[in-house]
Amino acid sequence: MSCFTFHLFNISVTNEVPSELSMVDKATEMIRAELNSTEILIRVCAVLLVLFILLFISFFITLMVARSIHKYNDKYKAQLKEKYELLLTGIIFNEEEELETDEFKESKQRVINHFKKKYLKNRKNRNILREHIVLLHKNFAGTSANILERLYVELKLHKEALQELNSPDWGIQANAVRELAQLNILDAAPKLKRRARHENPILRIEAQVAALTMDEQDPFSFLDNNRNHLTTWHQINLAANMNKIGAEKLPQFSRWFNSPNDSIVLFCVKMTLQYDQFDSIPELIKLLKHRSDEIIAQAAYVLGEFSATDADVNLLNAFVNASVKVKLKIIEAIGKCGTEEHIPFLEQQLLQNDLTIATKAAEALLILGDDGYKVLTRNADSPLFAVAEICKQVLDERNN
Amino acid sequence: MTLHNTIEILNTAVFFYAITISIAYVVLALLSARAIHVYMRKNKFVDHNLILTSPHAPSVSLIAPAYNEEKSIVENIRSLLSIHYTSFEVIIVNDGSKDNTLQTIIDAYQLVPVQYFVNNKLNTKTVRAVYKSTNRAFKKLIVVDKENGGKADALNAGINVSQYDLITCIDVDCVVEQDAILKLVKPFLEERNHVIATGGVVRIANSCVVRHGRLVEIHAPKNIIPRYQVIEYLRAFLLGRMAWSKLNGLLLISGALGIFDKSVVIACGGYRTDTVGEDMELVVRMRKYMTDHKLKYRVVYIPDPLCWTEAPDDYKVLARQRNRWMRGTMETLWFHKYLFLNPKYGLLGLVSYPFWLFFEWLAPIVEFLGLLYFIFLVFIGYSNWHFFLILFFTVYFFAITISILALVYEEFSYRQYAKHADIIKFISTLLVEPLIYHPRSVWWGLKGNLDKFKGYGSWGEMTRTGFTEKPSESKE
Repeated sequence: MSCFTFHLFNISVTNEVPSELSMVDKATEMIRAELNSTEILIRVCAVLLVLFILLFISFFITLMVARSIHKYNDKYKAQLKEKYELLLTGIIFNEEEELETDEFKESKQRVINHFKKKYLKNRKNRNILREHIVLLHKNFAGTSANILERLYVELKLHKEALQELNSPDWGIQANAVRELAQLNILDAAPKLKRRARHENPILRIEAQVAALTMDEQDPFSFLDNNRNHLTTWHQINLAANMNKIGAEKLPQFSRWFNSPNDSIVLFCVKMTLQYDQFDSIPELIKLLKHRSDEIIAQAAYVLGEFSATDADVNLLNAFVNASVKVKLKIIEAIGKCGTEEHIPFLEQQLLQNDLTIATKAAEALLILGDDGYKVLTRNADSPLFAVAEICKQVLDERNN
Repeated sequence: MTLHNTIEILNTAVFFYAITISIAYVVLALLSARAIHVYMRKNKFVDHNLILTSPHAPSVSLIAPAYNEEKSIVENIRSLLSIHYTSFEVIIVNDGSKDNTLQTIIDAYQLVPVQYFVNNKLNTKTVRAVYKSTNRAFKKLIVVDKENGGKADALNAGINVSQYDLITCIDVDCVVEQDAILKLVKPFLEERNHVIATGGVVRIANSCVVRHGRLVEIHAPKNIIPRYQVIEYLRAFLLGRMAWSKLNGLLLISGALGIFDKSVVIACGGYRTDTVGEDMELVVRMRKYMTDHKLKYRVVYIPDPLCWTEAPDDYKVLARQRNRWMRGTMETLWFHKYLFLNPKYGLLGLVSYPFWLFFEWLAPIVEFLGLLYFIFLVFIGYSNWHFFLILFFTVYFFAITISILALVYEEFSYRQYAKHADIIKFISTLLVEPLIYHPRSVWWGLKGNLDKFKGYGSWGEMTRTGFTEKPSESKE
């Protein structure tokens, strides 16, 4: 806007006029030249003006129409969902209570047929129902969830999802993968698994999550020879969904500690902690020599959480040439798995220049119990201001 | 050079300037549309609650400076403490308030001074004490009392006290959506390149209903002044910043709410205290630091409305705010003048910086000089009124088309304003905005320039009426 406003005010365009002309001719020529050049600009502006007016009107119409459509859709969806809710909850709760009597089966079939005729001929309605069944399924478990799965198949909604797997659009595929996995359509499992290495990260996550819940043989096979980077977000998604599968299906995550893909190693180290796989401690100790600082730091952290007393020597060796980030994790681990033998080491860290490390060492000393506490109390009177202040902070219970 | 020649050169230069800025806006709008569409599509598959329940999510320190906030501070802290996140601390920095802010917090949250070693990685004014609550329900709260040093200094003090790797700088008087941190943290989790900062959309809360520190009803402001600003914010955030984020050329994360990688903030020296545009300056310096160290990075912006702020509802206060923003922009551009067309800094030096220089800083000056120039041309009889009128309407319709496009984006993305009446209000506002509001904002920008050259360095007082339980009455 701003610059246009400037140009708006600068509308006198002049052209050079041959010098041999008289003053009157010069002026006439100049005005003609000006008119000619502004003529073009005026035409350009006129075209732009018409364009902007048309754009404005079309945006205005788009806005108002979109608003009305959105409102109508929201209302329609809410009403339909209400009807679906009645149908679905009716079937779920009756079926749970009345068992599968012939009379009930008949009445259920009548309801389903009624719905098929009245609501499900339209694709939009079917999509709303699919969405609603998925949502309900997330909130139910056991028999209720099984009933929803059966109903989903009986209404042949799974066929639409299976068809959508062939869509070239990753979004439609990902949605179908999520739906089929949620409703446990086991026949689709191989198709879903094939997408576990898809180039689109979102589809890949959905397919890997599906593999976790549906693959009976080897739900974690997507981790083998996987070259794709697992972002932290990806790891959080996998970790959250692992809770849905039985402990007996969980592998020993140390199986992937030698993976060339660092993100997979990191993920597996985290899972080792999440599922308390204490027998992986020897493999975790080996990771303290890994090339990646992030993995060393994570391994040290897990060893600390496991109170792996046998790891102390390796932790101290790894400390020597480590980065600050790794040192902090090792000190924290020593605090958790160390003994009074490690107090001199921690005190040494308390007295060195990096105050972040010193603070971490003070916290580790506090965890080590009475002997650590004594060291902190002694250093609270240290002539070194920072050391004294750090010790006082850690000793102040209100800070913990 | 004849007068005619001079006029011709000037006209041509300004014409190209005008064409360039207009094309830039259109390109940014198109890029934004694509970026918002992609973001919304991806977001369909995102369950932010996974972050809430995950032990692998990073911990975050929320830092909120407070200066003379005794009336609203208790409620504001309560709102921050109730944010949905798994592991966080809330650090309130009382920046030498002259009123009863500190005592009000102490009383409300049962605070006592604690032994706290402040690791002064960033230089700040003296920290007088650090307080924590004796009530375990408020164990996430830390209150820092320090000598007055301004917002930037208070933020630096908060950074020194913070424990966690990610810091959120927040304006204490903003209403923050409860899932704001979950959404702002996500880019740190999902990007392969090192994310150094994220920001989200700031919206205007005037006339909205706020209850217990939470926004419960959203309405278009009744007063037209904040309504102008809603249009302005929608244009800036939905049409501009999304595109810059997509290009990885974003220079500004709003001071109202942003998350930063603490290690990078500290490595480049924290907030500068000698500028009123500390938020923009920090982002530019962080980008420079990453480029100088040959580190790949991203500054990410997300289109979700995460933070609601009370906009000035009278021209006096608004003028002070805009004056400050202009001075902040000028200071940042001046501090980092070496970036201008410097290929070493890639997009930052070749596109982002020149854009801000020419189209953010220079625009009001060009516009104002244009007005004077026009008066001069009218005076010497060089005006073509026919052209004037057609260009005037072209410019006007371009401006309102861009504004209504922002409303269309809003409709297809977040649809925060549910009532038809609100949309009608916004449309009527955007029709008059170029004629009534825009000339004023040009003047404020110009005044900011003049004040900067005169050496005026104050923030200016920002008076707020405060959020109420009911929508506030219109002052129109």
